[in-house]
Parts: sequence; structure tokens; C-alpha cells
Amino acid sequence: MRLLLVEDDEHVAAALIAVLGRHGISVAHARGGEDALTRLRNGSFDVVLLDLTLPDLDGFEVCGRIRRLTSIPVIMVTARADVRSRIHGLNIGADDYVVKPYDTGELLARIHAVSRRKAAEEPERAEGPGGVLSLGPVTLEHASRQVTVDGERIALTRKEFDLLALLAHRPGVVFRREQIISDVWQTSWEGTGRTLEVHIASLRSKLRRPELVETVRGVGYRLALPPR
Amino acid sequence: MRSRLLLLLTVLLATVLLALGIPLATSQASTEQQRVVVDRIDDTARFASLAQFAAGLSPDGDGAADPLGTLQEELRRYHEVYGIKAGVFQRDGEPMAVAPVGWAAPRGEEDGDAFAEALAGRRSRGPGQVWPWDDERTLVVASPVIRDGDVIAVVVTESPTGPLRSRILSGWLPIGYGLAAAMLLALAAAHQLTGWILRPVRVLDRATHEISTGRMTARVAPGGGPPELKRLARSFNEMADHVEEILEQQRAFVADASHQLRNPLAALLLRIELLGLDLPEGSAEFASVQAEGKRLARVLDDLLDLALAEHTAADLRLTDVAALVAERIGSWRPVAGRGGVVLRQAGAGAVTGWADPVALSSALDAVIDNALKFTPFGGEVTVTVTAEGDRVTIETADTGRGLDDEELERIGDRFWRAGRHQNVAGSGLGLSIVHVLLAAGGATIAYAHNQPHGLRVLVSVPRHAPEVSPQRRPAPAAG
Repeated sequence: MRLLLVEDDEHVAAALIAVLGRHGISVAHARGGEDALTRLRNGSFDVVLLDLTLPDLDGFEVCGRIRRLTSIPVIMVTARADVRSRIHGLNIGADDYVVKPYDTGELLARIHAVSRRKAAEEPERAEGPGGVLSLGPVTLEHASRQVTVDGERIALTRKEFDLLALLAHRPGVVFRREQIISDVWQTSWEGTGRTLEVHIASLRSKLRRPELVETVRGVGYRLALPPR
Repeated sequence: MRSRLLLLLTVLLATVLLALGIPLATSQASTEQQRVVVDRIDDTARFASLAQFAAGLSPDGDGAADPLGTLQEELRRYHEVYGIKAGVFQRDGEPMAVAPVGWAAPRGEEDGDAFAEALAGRRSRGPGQVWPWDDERTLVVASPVIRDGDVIAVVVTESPTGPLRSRILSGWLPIGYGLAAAMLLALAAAHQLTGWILRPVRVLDRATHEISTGRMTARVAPGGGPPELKRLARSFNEMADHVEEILEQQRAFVADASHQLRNPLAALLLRIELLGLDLPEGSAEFASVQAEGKRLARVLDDLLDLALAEHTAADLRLTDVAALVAERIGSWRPVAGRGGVVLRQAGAGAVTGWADPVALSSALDAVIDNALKFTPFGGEVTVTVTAEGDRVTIETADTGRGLDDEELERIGDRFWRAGRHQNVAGSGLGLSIVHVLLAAGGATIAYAHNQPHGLRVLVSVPRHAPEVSPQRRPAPAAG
């Protein structure tokens, strides 16, 4: 996943790039509004994190101009906590609004949420006809919930399939544990104990390629495949 | 001040009117009396001229001319017609002719003087002034009877003063009416004058009260009144502007500070997160560092809330307080349930109050949150709504440990937290924010002990809009 960070505070930017990098998200850093717009014209990104206090342009204006340029998801990240700024920001075209200082987990969840919505709108990317997703040796068939590795069909339980489908949705991107549990088990983080670890271990053994599902220490898991 | 000013003016005006009215009344009385006295002097002079011939004659003189009989007859008729006692007396006081029979000339101190003066050959210079309230007084006038330069007898008349007194009284009536009318006019003028002087003072008083209750936008409209008070009103407005500006600066500082701190804090929290990724799973030290960072963020949020609460103008309207309480309790019930605390509502089911619903909701949130935080498992929090007089009271009583008297005085101070509660999550700003939120709408918050233990928080809201609402807004159009 490629993310454009528009932030003039070097310290915040450096820390955020490091954290996002650890979560498998590659970040391009723009220090001002014009810079951000130039980068958006030249490159392709999945999400924009936009700070509102920029040296050259007003953040709201940047957001409006991004909207005229592309339909990329924009999350406003700002120190302005008042309701009016939030409403204005969302009205002007932001997809989400996060107030500093934020919880990293929440920020990542929001990044994933807006990029998921975007993906749903886009024409099927990696999926072939019939909802088939092919990632290196692994092929996922969403309609029939079948998985083949190196041409060989393997039997996965319901949860194991959901887990693999989630990771395969964005190969390379780290999914935080609470995020996986929310998505697959439809419950909040607390009280699920070691369920996730058990399922990951079982999935690895069934795939017969343990290195496919990679543990990122302290964060979560990802599918260790180059995207297509 | 108003009554004193009015009293002072009234006393002054009354003194002036009395100083004018009393001499007028006195001169009126003496004029009346003078007329009567002159009349009597004329009468006595006539009797004296009659007596001139009668004196020294024996009662049985020649029948053709009987001056003494004529005199006697004149006196009798005079008495009959006018009711005035009259008589001619010898120098030694022996009566020569009197009517009615047996009447002796009064020789009291004052009246005797008239007799003695007449003996000395002088006419009465005028007896003492008769007043309407002198019931027993008579008017004695004496004249000498002179023959060949000698006083041979004295004519004395003693008139009743009733008619004179009533004439004086009726003369006084118009004067009294005039004085009363003048007094009424003076009172009306004094009333107007005090109103004119005090109107700016009242306006100033109202504005001061509004500012002291938190409506910093209250100002004194330029109006009438004495120049000194106009100047005072101008100075007051300048002062209020200044105070408001300083408060605004202070608020802006808090807002800016908490705003500026967000970036460094965000970077710090991210760095902490990054560090945590390299630490072994479930490090207690890391968890507490993270918790501290988040607590700092919450304090910043609260500070900003406080600064904003001080800034926001209340949107006051008639609010169903009981419904609002029920709604807030509904939202807090899951939290209470998790802590094993029974949260319930008591009291009236439908009570309206004059409040800003958003501010009151936030205030109730903070109060209920506080009560739940300090109530142990199995405890109870009761929110009671009661209407009494022109106030609605929302009482939140918990069964926690409560506070001692000293702590009860400090609760609500900014950043204050009871020493033994330092480990409960919170910034110590919650109730300060409540206070600010409530003050803007004329509501108050008070704290008391709950029996046998626990804390009672009493939020009191006015039931109706104040008489003069400085922030009256048009009611939102229906539909």
C-alpha cells in the first residue's frame, strides 16, 4: 500500500513514517500543499494523510484541490479538534478526520477502512473473472471459498479462509491483530486470547508454506508476497 | 439609595414649603383679627362717647334726657344682637352700665392689661393673636371715657372668638390646599429626579451582575442621567472590554498551548509505539509508558474543552430536564453495568428548565462519570430530578466513599483531585468544565455529603427565562 503523508512537522512525519513502515505501508512525504499535489499528479497512491496546518496552502484548500484531481481517499490529520473544523473538513471532501494526538491503532484502522471502501468501488484489481484472486502460488476463489496452493486444492475451515482472504486482500501490508480479530471474528480485541495464534499456526501448516504468512513482531501478520 | 434620596428631597421641599406657608397663615390670621379688633374699637369708641354724658350722673336724673338709661339700653341691644358682652366701668372698677347684667370686666393678666391701659388713657393696642385652637379665648377691647382730659370711666367689650376662629380657619384652607398641591408637585419632581439619577445606576448594576455571572458580553447602553454617571458608564464599558479581552487572551492561550502541544505529543506517542514494536510482547513497563502518554493527551483534550466551554455562548431554551436526564442515564447504563453499579433515576418524570441542552448534557455526563468512577462494585448511583420554586434540581447521589469536609470545599477547583484518588483515571478538570458550562446558563453546581457515605452533586437550573434575557433568541420556526 502506498500512502502520501502531507505534514510540515518533521518530527511527527519521521515518527509516523517509521511506524507506518513497520506496518508494511510505504510512505511518500510531502512537506507542503503544492508538493503534495505535484506528487499526486505524478504517482499513484492508495491513501492521503493530510495535515491541515501547512506552510504554503490551507489544508482545506489542498483537500478541495485533491478532490478535483482524483477520488483518492483523504484522511485529515490535525490538531484542530473543534466540531466545526471536522464538519468543514468532511464537507470539503475528506473521507475521515483524525485529531492529534491519535492512537496508532485507530489511525491504521481508519487508513484500512478508507482504502477498503476505495477498493470496493474500483474495478476488480487482482481478481480475475468469478472473483478469483491469484497471488503467486496461491489462488483464492471467493465464490466457492476454495484455495489452491501450487495447483493443489487444500481444505480450510471457514475462519481460516476468512483470515487468508483478509491478508491476501493487501499482500505485503501488515494487519494488526486487533484488526484481524475485528474482521474475521467480528468482535473487539478483548477476551479472544490465543485464538488468532492458533488459527495462524493451523493455516501455515495447511498451506505447507509457512513463510507465506509472516509474523511481524509486536504488530501482526502479513502475506509475504510481492503484490502481483 | 433611592428611598434615601427621595426622603432627603422630600424633607428639603417640605421645609421650604412650611417656611413659606407658616408666615402666610400667620399674617392671614392677624389680618382677620385686626379687622375684628378695629371693629370693636369703633364700637367702644361709640359707647365711650355715650358714656361721656352719662358719667357722673345719678341714675335718676331728669327724665327728658337719661344718658345712662340710653347707654344701658344701647349696651343691652348690642349684647342681644352681637352676643358681645359690654360694659362701662368706673375708674375703681364699679360697673356703671353693663350687659348682660352682673357681668364684671375680666381683669385677668392679659385682659386686665386692656383695662389698665384704658385707665391710662390709651386705647387697646390689640390683644394677643387668637388661634383656631384657642377654644376658651375671648377678645377683650377697652376704651377710655375721657371728659375734660381725664379718664372718668372705661368701656370694655369681651367678644367670643368663635366666628373669628372659623374665619381664620376658612382663610387657611386655600393656603393648605395650595401647600398640599405644591407638595405633591414637589414629590413628583423628586421622584422624577431620583429616577433620572438612578436609572444609569440601575443599568450599571444589571450589567455588573451579568458580567459577574459569566456573560462577559454585557455592556451599558449610553443613555440619560447625570454627566458623572454617563462618564462612569463609559468607564465601565471600557473596563468590561478590557476584562473580556484579557479573559479572551487567557482562553486563547490555553487553546493555543493545548493545540501546539499536540504535534510534539503525537510524535512522542508514535515514537513510543515504535519502541514498543521492538519490545517483547506484553511488557508492563511499555504499557504504562503508553498509558501515561495517552493520559497526557486526555488532559490536553480537557484543557481545550475547558477553554472552549469558557468561550461558547450558551444557547438557552426551555428544555425537558427529566427527559435529558433519562437519556444520559440510558447512555451511561452499560458503563455502570460493567462496574457492577446500579444507576437509576428518581423524582419527577417531566420537568422543564431553562438551559442549554448540549451544555447540560455535557455537565451531566461529567457528573455521572464522576459518580460511577468513585462508586465501588455493588454500589448505587441515583439521579433525582426535583422542581422546587423557580429552580429545578438534579441531584446525583453515589454510595462511594465520599469526601471529607476539607475535600468538599476544594472539589471543582481546576486540576484538584482528592489525594487518595490520584490513581483513578482523569485530569481533574471534569467538574471545572461542568462549572463553566453551567455558569453560562445561570445554572449552579453544589456538593454535599450523602448519608451514610458518598457524595451528592446538586445541579440547579432555573425553571424559566430570566425577566430580561440578554441573549434572547428567536424561537426556531416550527416545522
